[in-house]
Amino acid sequence: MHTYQRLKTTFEFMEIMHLNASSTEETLALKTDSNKSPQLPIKKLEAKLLPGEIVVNEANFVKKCISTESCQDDLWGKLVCTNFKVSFITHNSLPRQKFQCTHRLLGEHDIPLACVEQVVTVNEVKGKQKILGSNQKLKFNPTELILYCKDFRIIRFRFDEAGPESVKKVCLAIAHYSHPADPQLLFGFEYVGKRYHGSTGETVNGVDPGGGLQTPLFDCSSDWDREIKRTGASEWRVCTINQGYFISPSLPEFFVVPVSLADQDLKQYACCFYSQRIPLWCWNHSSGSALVRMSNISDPLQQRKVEQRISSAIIKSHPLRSDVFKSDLDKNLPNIQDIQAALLKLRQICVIEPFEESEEKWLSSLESSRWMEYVRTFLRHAVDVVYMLESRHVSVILLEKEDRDLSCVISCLVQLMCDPHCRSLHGFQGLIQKEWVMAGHRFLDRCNHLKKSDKEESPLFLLFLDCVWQLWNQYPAAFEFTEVYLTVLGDSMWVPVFSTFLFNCPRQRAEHSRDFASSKSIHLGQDQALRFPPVWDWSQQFSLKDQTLFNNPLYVGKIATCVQNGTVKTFTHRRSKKNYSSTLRGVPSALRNGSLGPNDTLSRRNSLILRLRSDLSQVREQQETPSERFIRDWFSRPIDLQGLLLPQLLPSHLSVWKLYFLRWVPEAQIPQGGPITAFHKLSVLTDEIEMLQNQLRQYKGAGCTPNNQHMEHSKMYFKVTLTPHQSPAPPEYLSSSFPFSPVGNLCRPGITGTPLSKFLSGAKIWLSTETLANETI
Amino acid sequence: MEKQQHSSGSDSPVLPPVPRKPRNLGIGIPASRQDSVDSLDSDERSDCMAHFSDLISPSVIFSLYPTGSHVEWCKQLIAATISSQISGGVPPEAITRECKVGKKIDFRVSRRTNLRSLDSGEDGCQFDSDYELPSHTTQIFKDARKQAPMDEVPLVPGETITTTVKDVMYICPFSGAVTGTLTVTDYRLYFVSLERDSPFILDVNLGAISRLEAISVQSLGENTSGMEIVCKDMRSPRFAYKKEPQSNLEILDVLTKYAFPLSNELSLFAFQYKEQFPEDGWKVYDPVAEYKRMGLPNESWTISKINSNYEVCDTYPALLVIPTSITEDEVKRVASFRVKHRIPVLSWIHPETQATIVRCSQPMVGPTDRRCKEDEHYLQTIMDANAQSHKLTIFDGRQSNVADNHKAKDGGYENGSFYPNMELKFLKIPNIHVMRESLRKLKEVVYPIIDEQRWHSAIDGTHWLEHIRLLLAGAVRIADKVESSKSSVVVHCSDGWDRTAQLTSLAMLMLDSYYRTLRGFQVLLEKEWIGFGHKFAARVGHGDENHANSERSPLFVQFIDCVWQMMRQFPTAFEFNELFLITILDHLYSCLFGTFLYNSEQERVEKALNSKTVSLWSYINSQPEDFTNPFYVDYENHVLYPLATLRHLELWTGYYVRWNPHMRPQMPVHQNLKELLYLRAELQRKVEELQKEVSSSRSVSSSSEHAYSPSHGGTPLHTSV
Repeated sequence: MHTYQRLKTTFEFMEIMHLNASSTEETLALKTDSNKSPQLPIKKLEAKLLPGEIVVNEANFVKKCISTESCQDDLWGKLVCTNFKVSFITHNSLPRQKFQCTHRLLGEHDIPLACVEQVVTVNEVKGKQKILGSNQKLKFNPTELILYCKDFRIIRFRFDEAGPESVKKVCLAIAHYSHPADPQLLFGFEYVGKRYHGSTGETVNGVDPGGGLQTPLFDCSSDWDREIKRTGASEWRVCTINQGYFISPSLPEFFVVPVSLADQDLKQYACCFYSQRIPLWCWNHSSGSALVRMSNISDPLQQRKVEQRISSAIIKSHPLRSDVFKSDLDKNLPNIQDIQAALLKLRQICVIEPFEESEEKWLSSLESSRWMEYVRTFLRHAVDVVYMLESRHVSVILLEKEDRDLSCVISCLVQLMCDPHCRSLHGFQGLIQKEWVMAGHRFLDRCNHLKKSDKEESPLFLLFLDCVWQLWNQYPAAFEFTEVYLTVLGDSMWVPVFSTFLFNCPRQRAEHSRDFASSKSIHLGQDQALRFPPVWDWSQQFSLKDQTLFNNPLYVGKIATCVQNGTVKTFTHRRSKKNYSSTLRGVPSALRNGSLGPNDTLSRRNSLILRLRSDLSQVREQQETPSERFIRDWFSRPIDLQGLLLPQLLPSHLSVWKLYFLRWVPEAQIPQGGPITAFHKLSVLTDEIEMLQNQLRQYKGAGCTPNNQHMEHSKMYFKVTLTPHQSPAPPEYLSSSFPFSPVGNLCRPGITGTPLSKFLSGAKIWLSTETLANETI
Repeated sequence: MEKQQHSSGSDSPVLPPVPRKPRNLGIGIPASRQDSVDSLDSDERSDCMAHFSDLISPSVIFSLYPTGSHVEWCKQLIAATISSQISGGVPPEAITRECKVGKKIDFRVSRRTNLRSLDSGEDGCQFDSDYELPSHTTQIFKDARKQAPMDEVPLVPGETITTTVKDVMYICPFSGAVTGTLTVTDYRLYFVSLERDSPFILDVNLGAISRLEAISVQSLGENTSGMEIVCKDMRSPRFAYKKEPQSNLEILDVLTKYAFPLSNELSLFAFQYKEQFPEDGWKVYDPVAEYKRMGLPNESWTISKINSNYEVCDTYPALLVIPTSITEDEVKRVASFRVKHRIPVLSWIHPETQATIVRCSQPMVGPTDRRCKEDEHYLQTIMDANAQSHKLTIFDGRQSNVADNHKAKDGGYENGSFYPNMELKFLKIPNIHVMRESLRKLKEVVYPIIDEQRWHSAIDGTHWLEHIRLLLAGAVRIADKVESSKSSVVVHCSDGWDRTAQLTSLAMLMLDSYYRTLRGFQVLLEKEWIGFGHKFAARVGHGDENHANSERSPLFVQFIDCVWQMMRQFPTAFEFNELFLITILDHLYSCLFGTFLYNSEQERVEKALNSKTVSLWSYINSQPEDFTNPFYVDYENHVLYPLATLRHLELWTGYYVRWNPHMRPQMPVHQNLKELLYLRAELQRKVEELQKEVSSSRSVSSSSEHAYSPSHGGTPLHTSV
């Protein structure tokens, strides 16, 4: 707690400094610039603070740059650094966009400190710039501050008219607070801690983890029990030996193991595994095959024996006693540094390089970033695992050294492809809880929230979201959520309030919240840990209306067809889905599941190929592997959106996730165009269908007159107008970036030819602190 | 000849099914089969997406249309083999639903299966009878299959078989070789193999053939010959066959004769083709009506008959819109100053600002900077005709150094000092030879084998998308000048029939929502491309064996690609769909229709195309629902500016890579949309019924006031599902 104390004194000190300095400067600035700068009622420019949030430093008469070319549209306002965010408060407003989603925790111009990747200060006159870290000094007065954000935004402020001292301080404060020395300095602690001080306890900040949420968090044994039941994994049981985290520091308190393994055995085996991670059950395929993840066995002497024991236990848990297939992820997939490097290159070509110049070699640059290649590799690997489960009916063990990174991606993708439940909103959220949060993905390190080690930073979760997006993009009607949802979920990593993304493992969360509670004399009462809201509590961030942007009209529309006959068929599991799928996809369900052996046609065909191959030099050698055959065979059948889904994996089938990666790029924004226009039409249509159904229900029910209750309950963001004679053209504010806007969110520093841009485009990758600190031109 | 009535499945319970007129079906065809399955409830109804086709008598092939992407995939392939669409009478349709109150499902039967065009036979679209069909229909299928000799060649009316060769091996680059029967008619090459469990069919229009080559297939034995058929549509199938000493006529010779009729003193197949359609596509474009739609003539512009005998310019249409105040004499002087006499004429006029798009060829300035007072005056008049702006922008499609080269050889560009108030902008688009080379490289990248590792950089290396970008960027600049600066523009390149046509038509597509409708687009093509003398015959090389002719270039393909790119960026702004564009491109080559034949209006009139051939639009407009985009909403008066950036441009794999079975298109969203449209229609009907019940049982008016009235509600249904 030493660090924390030290930091706290520092900032109290800075606050005092700031109070003295800014008052004099403000008057000064007022005198000198009163004719230039707009006359603003300064007092009204105050940061909106959340509970637990305090202002650290601020500067007046700051300009936020809106476009690179001209400063005409720049906004005047006040730059504030709090312990949560960098806030820019202005009275000038951007052309008001009708759709603006108001974030409940963040204002239009706010950036959470956790989202700030790099703080660059520039003095144009002296030709200097410096990348600021924590506790650093600044030897020049910055004229410009550029914030590079983790979500690909680049925000730029100019200080032409602001007081140099307060500017310096605010810059240093931003740098300092975006590099917290301790996890407990992340804003979530103060924010959540506040609720325990309030007399009204329960309602402060509306934190209500689990309660009212339909998403299972998998932090209790009942959630696991339900999952076992749902997947029919009767030979598996919930194991409680890690309660209190006494066995493994990185495993959850509850997890699932083969019935045949007793607690005593497990305790014995635990010490052989990396970080005592006993193999974890993820999911059961309907054939009875299990998906299991496992870390490396650290003790080479024990390796064979333990492996055998584990395998035979898994085999015993298989109804057909099928074999176990081990999939070594470290060998087949890029490592976390590769992935990080790929993202940095992608960011370079998407938002840093001047737009026009990168045009000609866009596809080549994209290829050389290797991001798309990695997305493909992960998807392909997941398909291979699916093949083992689906076609070979064997259980699969995902093997990774620590079992905390690559396995999270693969196990989720496998389940998304196989299990339609995971494609519903709550199923998907539960999946992330299960395979990421509880399995101990090091979100704290991988997000690099503490900016401690760049080597540990890796956008694994974003890569996963991109993989999901590719699936979504190929089968949009199979998912309950939209790409806006995926994008917003990715952004939420940088709002350091949610239990989901703050910690490396459940134990760390428990420990830190205990420490924090005791240092703040918070009585946790019945809670074991501070009640951080999970990100799944979406009303923390968005209004109900804005949350409708997450609802996929194609999927909702389909639910509507189920409800149509009066019986609500829920989306629980594939095996109960046969009827449903046939309502729209037109697959006679009786024939759907395997009555046709794919091999009886294939063997014949294959023999033909073989015969010809011997004497035909023109024919390409085609050694079709069984898994290729499985894939090809799957594609030759009609697609059942509530069944197995396999992605198409040629490079041409995968696209850049434009909404995520290009939303801030003004030059890449298609006004009144983009996929959103089709979404709009679907949304309106689905809304109309829902309304008609309501009417039907009312007629059928009491026979009373239909009312307009519909409007409040609609799941759709775009609603049908009540007098639709013609399908309306999409609203003018729609663009390919919707619901985001590049305005003011991407300011590439400097125009081509200016020193700074030279300096940036010269750097091969995203500015790294080591190489660029103190560098001058 | 027997006529056949197909009952058409319609989506809408409100609208009656679109009547499909009887279709001439050629030789001895039995009435098509229709198997109705009664009393399926609504949930089961859509199960039955099977869709049958039967074949020319007595053979019957049933084929099955699976759902989703497969359907779309099939459709695109089908587009490649027009024969099937034409003779089939019934277009391929994804889902056939009968939504009349009677609740019955119609297994529609069309005469031919379309899936045979699959080069990729064994992937995707093959017939899988045991798998999908409800049992009763499976039975029907099996019966049919037994009695069907499947190597019967489907013929379009007027088509005759020239030769049939058995035991030919098709060397499929994707799935290995298959042996079967090859038939050559005067319209197509048709290969069918019954070796595999599902018939494998390859169908190539002879018009698509660019080059025929004997290849060495020594590995197959000494008596075997091989041939490669290099096609204009991005594929090159290869065959191997036994040499037959007794037969004098080698198959290669027969093919050569009919693939290149003009080089062999035969006429193009379009003159033999005898299909009759209910719609007459030749009536789609009436220049006077189209100019009238634009508000012409007006006080500044007149529809002139000065070229009615093609005397002023033999590559222009008979009717031209020129400034009212220009005299005939002046026109002739201007004509002598412009290359090929292609004088500046109006293409489009802005309905509000009167800003115009004018097209012409380059001025013959030459190295000595020749002037032509009349030409200068002419352009001044064009500028003055638009009161909103005192500027005129001349867009020269070429790269400026190329324009300089032309200047050295008697061509050139307008000299700013002689044309005051005019600014000249070069759009830097490379010439036809560069484009031809670019597409050739693209074919190497996409056919037959794709290098997955280098896919993106390989596409970059062809510069195809870069050229698309330049074209779109140029057209956006033109459209923006007209719309935002309200200024008139003059567009030319060298001759004013290649890049100029691309640029003006793209700009018009951005500016005028009419051209984004199914009919409007046909008008646009008839006017800007066919009318103003894009040299289709020379650029495509219809029926000509000289494949190395440097006049050939895929400029029109490039234009259609640009349209496709716009459709991708504005998925709801176009009334037509991708299939429409692919169909157009397929018939650019097929020589089945007269639409794209010859180089100019004058030639077409001479050959009496309108009376002797069928228009492509006759076919399209007889079944518009196949070519309609269900997402379409009318962006009336909206100007669309597509983004000309590689970030948004994509390779049109659905066209260029469609022969590769691995390049299956993704599941189209519009399929889902159609399902929703169907559902809505169903609900509307139910609500309406209930409303009637309610209002009849109680004579209350208040309820119906609040109730949503479905009779006039909702978007108009696009009835094709």
